[in-house]
Amino acid sequence: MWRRWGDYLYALTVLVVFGAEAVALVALSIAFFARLLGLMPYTRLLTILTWVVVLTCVSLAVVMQHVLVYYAASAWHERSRKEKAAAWTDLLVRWVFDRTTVLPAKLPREGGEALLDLRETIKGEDGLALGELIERFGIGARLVKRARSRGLGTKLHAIEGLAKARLPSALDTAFGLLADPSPVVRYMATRVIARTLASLLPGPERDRDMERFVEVLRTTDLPSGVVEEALLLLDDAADPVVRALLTEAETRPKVARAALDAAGRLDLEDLAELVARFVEHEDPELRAAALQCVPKLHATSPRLAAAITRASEEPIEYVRVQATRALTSVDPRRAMPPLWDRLHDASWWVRRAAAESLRALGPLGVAELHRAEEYHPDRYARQMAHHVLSEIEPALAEAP
Amino acid sequence: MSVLLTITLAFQYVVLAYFALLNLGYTLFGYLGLRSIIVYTRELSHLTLRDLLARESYKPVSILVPAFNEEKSIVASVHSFLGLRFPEFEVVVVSDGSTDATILRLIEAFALVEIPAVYCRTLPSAPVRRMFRSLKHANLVVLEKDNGGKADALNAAIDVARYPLVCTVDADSLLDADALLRATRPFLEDDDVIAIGGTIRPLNGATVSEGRVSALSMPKRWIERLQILEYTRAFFSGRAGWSHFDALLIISGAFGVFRRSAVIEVGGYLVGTVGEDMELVVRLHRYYREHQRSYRILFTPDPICWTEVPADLGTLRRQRNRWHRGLWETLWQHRTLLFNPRYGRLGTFAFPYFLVFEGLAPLVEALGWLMIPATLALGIFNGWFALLFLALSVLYGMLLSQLAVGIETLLLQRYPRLSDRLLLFAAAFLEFAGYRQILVFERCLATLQVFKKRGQWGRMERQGIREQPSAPRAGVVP
Repeated sequence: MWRRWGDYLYALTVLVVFGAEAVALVALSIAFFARLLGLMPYTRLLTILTWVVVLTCVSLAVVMQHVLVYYAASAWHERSRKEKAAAWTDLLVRWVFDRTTVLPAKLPREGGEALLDLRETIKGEDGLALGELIERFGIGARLVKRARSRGLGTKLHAIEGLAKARLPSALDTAFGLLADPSPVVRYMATRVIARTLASLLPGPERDRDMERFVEVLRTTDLPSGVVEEALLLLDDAADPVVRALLTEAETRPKVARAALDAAGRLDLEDLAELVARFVEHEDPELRAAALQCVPKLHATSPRLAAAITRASEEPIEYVRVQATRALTSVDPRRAMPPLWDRLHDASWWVRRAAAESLRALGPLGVAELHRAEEYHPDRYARQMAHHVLSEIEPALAEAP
Repeated sequence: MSVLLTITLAFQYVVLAYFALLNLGYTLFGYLGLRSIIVYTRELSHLTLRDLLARESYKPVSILVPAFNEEKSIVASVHSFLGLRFPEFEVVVVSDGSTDATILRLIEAFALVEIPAVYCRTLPSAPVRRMFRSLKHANLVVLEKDNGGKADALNAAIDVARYPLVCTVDADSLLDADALLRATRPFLEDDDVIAIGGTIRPLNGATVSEGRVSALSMPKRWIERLQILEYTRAFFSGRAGWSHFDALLIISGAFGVFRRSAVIEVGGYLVGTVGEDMELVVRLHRYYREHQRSYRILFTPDPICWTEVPADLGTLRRQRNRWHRGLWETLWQHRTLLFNPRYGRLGTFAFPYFLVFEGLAPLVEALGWLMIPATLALGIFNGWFALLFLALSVLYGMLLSQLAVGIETLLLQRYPRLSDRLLLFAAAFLEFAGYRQILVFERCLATLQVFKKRGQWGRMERQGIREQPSAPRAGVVP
């Protein structure tokens, strides 16, 4: 990780020093060329060369001095900042437990950072109270102003502050940042919105902002990883957003895929039926994502079991892999015949998934795996069964 | 005589123009590297990393560790890899026909048991003799195979890997606890990212406890100190700059993360070359451009990998000889890219740069040194002029080194003692007092040996990673 203090000054020093050096080198090259063509006397060339050497010497001294001064100053600065931040954190924690604790009228920089860090850590009502404190000290307004500034570094620093502060008043700014030309700003703004929405209390205002967020996720060209991360950051508030994304027919496939992944990771069991519909979706990637999600949501129905079994025979390999894994969510007696079949699939990954799924079915599945190891007509199926059975022992040893 | 004189003078001017262009390039990359670091530090904060961990938003990773006669460091390295802060990963160690006790050390330390070698063989590799799984760590797999070289071992490991991302590391390296979190983040944010290179820092002189670098101090030998300076320069100013142009040609073999499917699609690592890391990256660029598919190969400036650098001149010379031969092998293998506009910046800018300013650099520098006796013999030697020119090249070299040292000072995990900083300054000067000339000679030699020694690795002496359970010597890293 890097220090964020003094880097701009160093960049400026480097720009000035190396800018001067670049000019000097170009001048020297021209002088040499002119000398080669006989257009410049030797003594003048020598003078130019001498001056370039002197300039380089001075540049070196400037950079070395800067580095040494920065080294000493940054060590001192960090020590004193750490001490101040610790003192401010103590005071603010006292305030959290006892609201009569007197706070100064203005917070210095270290106090502001301590407050943001505390807000990031403390959730619930105390967290909201800290949020109000952030507003009262004008930190929120300052962050909003900086988040709109032109410098990328300043902007990103402010957005990070907003992510910690989770201020409802900053939501408009965060939504506005989604139109920023820099992808990094858009991604960070998405996270700010998700974190803020997750901290809001249920109510019509939150519902309105949620709808706005759904619209943003549907229409803004965000990578699926960023959409998924935002959905995961919503935490307990994710259900309505994921539901809306999966219900809307116009949701782009990559966003729907992220929503399916998030549904599985957040264990949104209420969405099981909605997710199950995607098992028969026309887009194979969505089918695979839904199949991956189904076992986590404990979705069970005869129709779903039939759809999973059908999917395990699909021509597309990655769909077959996920379907074979999803067979673990089907009644073991119904799952075993297709898993036995998949043990001699043409794809190594499907065979592996079939053996692992049998293992995951418990004693019944393991017995079937032993049977496959001995009697399966396909050599590769027998080999895979043997391989996965041999892995059980280390796994048992690892178990507490 | 006058013709000879003109040729000599013309050559001097060519050398100067070369020197000017090269240094202007370094300057530009240094500045762009610094700028990208400034943005990066604000983009990937502690908060973002915490969110990644808490929400388990990640792509699982297989860490691939090729090992040949690594009995001294393999256990410490594998411990360090197994202790990474990441929700889902596996470690695949491949003993590539080791003749020492590498496998025995692994069996003892991790309670390995043999399992049937059943895996999907997509890439060709030398026969696998045995496959092991650990009774202590469910996510550790070890392969023992016939010797086929590093590239061959990596291909076998890629076959065994189960996860969509593969992270290649050297067996004598240590990773930071957050290494995977940091390096895999771009894969989440951009579906087009196919490879990420990380910053490597020398491990020599560092205090290692529980598989992590806990404190830094300068090593005792100057040869190691000089390499610290070289690594600082190469990673903090060179690669960050190339990444800015989307023309990164090298991802160090010591640490790189790749999309497994992309590596398999291009046919895996090329066996029989000593520059397999650069060759793979160039091939990925080439393949994706030829198939007109959008892709990105990036560099993360966070120093996340620590590696042992040679502590004796013989090993260092062999290493640099190998690196330079590797460069030439790749340049030759992909010569069709050279000045070819079909490959965009890669063909018109990056590849020619590597040919002219990396491949040919030692030859030009050596010829520059040879000019001194040549001009003396011709009676045109001008002592004052030669001295000024020499001073300029030394001072400029020192200036570039200091630019990188300044960037290193911005790191939280920097050399903390004042004496260490002064040693780094001294190293920037001493580099020109023999060290650089020896390496120039070795690289010239490598250029001449490129076809004769094709694919030959050379013996490497290792010191091994030494854990220090006691209190760290230098200041504790924050």
